[in-house]
Amino acid sequence: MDSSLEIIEKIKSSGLTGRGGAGYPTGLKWESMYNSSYSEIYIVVNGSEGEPATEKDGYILENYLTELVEGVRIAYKIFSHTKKIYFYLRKDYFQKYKKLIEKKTSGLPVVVFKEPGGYLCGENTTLINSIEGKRLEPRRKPPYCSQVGLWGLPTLVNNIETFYRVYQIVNNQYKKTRSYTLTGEITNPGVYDLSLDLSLKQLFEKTDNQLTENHFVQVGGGASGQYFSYDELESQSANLGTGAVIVYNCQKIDFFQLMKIKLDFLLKENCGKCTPCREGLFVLKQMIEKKQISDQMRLIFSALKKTSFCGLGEGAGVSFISLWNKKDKIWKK
Amino acid sequence: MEKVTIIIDGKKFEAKKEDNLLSFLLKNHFPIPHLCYHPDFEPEENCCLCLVEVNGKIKTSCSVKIKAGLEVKTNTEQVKELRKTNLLLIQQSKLRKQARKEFSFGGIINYDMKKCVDCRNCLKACDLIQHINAVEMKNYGCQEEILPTNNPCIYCGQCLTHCPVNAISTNEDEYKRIVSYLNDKNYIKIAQIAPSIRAAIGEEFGLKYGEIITDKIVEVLKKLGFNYVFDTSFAADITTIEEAKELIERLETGEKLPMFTSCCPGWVKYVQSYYPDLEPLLTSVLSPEIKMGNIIKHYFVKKKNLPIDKIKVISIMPCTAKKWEVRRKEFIIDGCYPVDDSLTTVETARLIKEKGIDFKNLRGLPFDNPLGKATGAGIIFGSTGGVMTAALRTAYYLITGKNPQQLDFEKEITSLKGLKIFKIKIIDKSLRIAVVDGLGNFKLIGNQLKNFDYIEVMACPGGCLAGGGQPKPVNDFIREKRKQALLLIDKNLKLRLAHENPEVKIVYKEFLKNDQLIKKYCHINH
Repeated sequence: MDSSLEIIEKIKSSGLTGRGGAGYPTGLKWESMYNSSYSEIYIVVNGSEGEPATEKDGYILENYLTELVEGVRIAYKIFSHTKKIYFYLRKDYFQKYKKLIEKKTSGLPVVVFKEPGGYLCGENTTLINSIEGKRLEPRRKPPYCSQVGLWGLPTLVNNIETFYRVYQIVNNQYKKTRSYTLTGEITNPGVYDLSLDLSLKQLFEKTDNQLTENHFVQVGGGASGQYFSYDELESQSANLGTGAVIVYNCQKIDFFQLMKIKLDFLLKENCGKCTPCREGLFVLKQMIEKKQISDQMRLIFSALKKTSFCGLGEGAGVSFISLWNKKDKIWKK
Repeated sequence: MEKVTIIIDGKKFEAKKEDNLLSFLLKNHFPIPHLCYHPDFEPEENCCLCLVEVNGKIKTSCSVKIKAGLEVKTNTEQVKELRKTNLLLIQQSKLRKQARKEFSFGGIINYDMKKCVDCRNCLKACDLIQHINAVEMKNYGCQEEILPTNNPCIYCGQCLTHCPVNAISTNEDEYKRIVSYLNDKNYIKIAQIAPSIRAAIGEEFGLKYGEIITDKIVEVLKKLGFNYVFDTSFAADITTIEEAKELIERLETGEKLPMFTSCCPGWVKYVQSYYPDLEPLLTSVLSPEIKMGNIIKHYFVKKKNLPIDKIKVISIMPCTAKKWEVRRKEFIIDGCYPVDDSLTTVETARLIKEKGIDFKNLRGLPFDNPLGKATGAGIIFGSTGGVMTAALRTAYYLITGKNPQQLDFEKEITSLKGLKIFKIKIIDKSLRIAVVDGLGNFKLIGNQLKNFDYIEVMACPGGCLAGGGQPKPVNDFIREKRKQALLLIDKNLKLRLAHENPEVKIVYKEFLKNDQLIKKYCHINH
């Protein structure tokens, strides 16, 4: 096997980016942690998978657990001063895979940890707070988790798929693919391992899904994903966020119904820390219930995107703005 | 620290690298709206109002550290629009908060959660400054709400002085009750004012930080209907003498050491609630405020032949915990409380404003006599390190028969560091002392008490001068200004040693004639 530096170099040159949604270059993260002088660190395998309509981490746990654990072993080999490795799992994944993970990771300092909260726990600093037993909300960055994470020590947090891809890269099996989760108004939903380099149109062709002009899609996640109308499918890359692709039919759902679903989710999941999220989502919900479209709606979207404390608010803002901009095209009068 | 050049709205500014951008903008008079930012704490970025453009990107300025090459725009259309959007959201949140309830700590500190803007400064004050956590954040999102925990509140009021919107305040009903009898001509109303009021109340009327206005306060209290106005610092001089005596006694017997000060009621409540084992170590000497009440009611009133049932003694205090102290049953002597009620600095300023008095332009009056003359020792009680310094001056005299040459002992003793440790030499004795302000700092020495002989603890950072009843805002700059004012009064006074106060000597001669009487009126009745 290659030396630690060679492995990190290999990950860097593969171009692998984090598959949790934020897309930070994995090799750079590992390199910076490798170069830090701390005598102890933590590793967290993030299986929170809280972004709606994303099921890829569950798919990997079900089908590629051995490979995933190998990926984690590679990290442990590089970071041999790791104090503990947390498998941080969504409640259903925890129940289903706890024992199996413990069996497969014997010899590693592994803790299989049950996520105590919801959507926000997938965010790195909230995840750290949740393991430490603190309030479930994000911390200020910097410092990043790779500098100051669990109990003050540098912490390598990577998504389940990211570790799986590291396994592939080190074993020369990586073919620049990612896991797409397709759901919604289509005939062949599911998790697909396909090229990073696909347009939405190609994605639907390869998965044998036929879309019509009534369809529109949300790409990157059910909460933070951006919306695209039918005529954008050809030009738009499918490779966004968590790789979730949700297909809607404009005749089955209208703007207000869709907004209500998204807002109900976000209202339940936001932590309350910053004004745009805590208050903005609440006011938006009231407007949607009254079927009001006002300029304040657009202003709140913009405040969410530009002034929220963490990625949840920003992602929601980006998502809403894309829907706002395209709503007349999606629901033609 | 390294200086860098940054550009704000097209103009060049020299700034310290790593400094907080919002703080720098405010210092340079850029009107940046903000609610949750408080210089006592790390920024939270909760309110999202202090928005600016930094190198083309929207940022909360409280979260930006200054570095070379920053180009800041404070007033673009985008910035204004986003600030307005978030401010409107905060304003609209009042509607959903209508159903919320109020809660109170001991009927003293009131939380009106309808007014809360979710800045969390109260949580931080109670946690980071005091390590008490009498309040906590429950629930999430728009359901989140600050609620009391089971940890006893010590009434220090630090949550109150850190609240940007007066969602936390002193009890309104109590204020109204006190005001109602102030207007009643049947009562003889006697005020006593704590040392640190004179260095702070002016802020409420637009006077400069640290401007000393003792005479104006006396006059304004007379205008408000008080018949007599006395200086609590007078009783502080007696506290100093008694506490120095007790310290020497304890050092000789080697019992009940270290001795703790007990003039801060927040600290006393803290000991009772969290460290009951330490209560016997507190000095038995009554706080100046309580002792002043005793002297007024059992000496002054009799001397003047005033009807005791018509007397109301009201203390004007920088403190919310004093409202708890005046109600302590242990202090009742011959059926009467030493002090009937206590008003905070802020409440007193409100009273002045409600009466429409032009405070700024008052000419001033001296305190009434006797009980109106204090030495510098009694004045510095308002600052961290003050009680310690005052007691050491007199202890030095009692041990050596001579006054100390250096009256300040250690320059750093009054610094705003939170915990200060010294060894003070008095002839061949080396006194191991600590000065603590902010109860979180007490924990730093809590497990090494054996290493000390005498410890001063003030619940609020900086001491009474930044107490829970003092004007807002408060930060280290303002604390320093108020402190300098008190130290200046001390420095300029001829009499700076408590035991040299001629009027105190008279009170000892006429009233505190023997140990039995001293015990009754100056020490807690165990």
